[in-house]
Amino acid sequence: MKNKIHVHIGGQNEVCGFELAENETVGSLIKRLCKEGHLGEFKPEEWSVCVEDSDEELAHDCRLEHGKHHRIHICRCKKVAVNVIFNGATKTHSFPPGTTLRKVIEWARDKFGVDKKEKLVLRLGSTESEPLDPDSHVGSYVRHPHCEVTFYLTPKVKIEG
Amino acid sequence: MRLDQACFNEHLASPPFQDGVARGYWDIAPRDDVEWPYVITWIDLPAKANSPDKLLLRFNLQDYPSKGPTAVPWNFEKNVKLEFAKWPKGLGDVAKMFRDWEGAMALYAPWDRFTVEKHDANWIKNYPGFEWNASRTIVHYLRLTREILHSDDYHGC
Repeated sequence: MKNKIHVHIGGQNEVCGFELAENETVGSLIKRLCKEGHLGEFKPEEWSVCVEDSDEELAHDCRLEHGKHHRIHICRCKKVAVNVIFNGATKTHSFPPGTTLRKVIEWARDKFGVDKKEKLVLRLGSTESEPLDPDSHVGSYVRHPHCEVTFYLTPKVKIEG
Repeated sequence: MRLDQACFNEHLASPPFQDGVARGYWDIAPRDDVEWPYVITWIDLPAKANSPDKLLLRFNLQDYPSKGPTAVPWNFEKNVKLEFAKWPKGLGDVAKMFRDWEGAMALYAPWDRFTVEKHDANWIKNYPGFEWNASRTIVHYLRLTREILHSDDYHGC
């Protein structure tokens, strides 16, 4: 289990665990995932990989190590244009697909000048839909070639009563 | 095996639950003498002085997932409800969620069945997106509860 890595796949909201083979590289993992049917019918060279919350894209000849790469994102979008709507205003930023919503919330908090004590959530579709998992990745909400997503930023409802 | 139990076991094996296990957020804590519809799980807690690193919850999962889960803090060693003095403490949502309400039978949260059933039907409308429905899994309950425990509102147990 110590060589297990967690792979978030672009356009999918689920995370898969994989055991790293000896001398596994980004390229060999992508080929394996293609062969096992996880990546549809696209060619291995179309996919790019980044580490969770990292700006750096991993080259296909990069050797994967559990310690450094235990949670990665594989996506055909190299960047995701994220629109965040708050109180009717919209802010946009381009994020690597492996960026967590937790990081997007903090970026949006700063851009909209929301107090640090205010608890915030992101939602899809409307301000009343289900709060999204803050550990999910922006790349999970887009499907190439549409590398853009719009979230609604709302205060987390306080428990009353 | 009952249908509700089979469905719950399927959700335990699903990637969202297992991803939380891999991140160290939660897992089940089986005991031989705890039988369906009861299941004990733990949620990790932030490090605080003189406080445990996990909160044990005993769930009642009767008719899962058509009916939502309800849970109460649990003393795993003694297999009894956790003494109220040892429940999580803090401000804001933590103080609201872990309070002695209706005999401290459950978490006071809009995703807990006991709490929802004790209110009139309008109460849950104050919490859009947080309510239980049959398409959700146990991860909904665990994630929302954990987010509150991992906020500045939590001061320890």
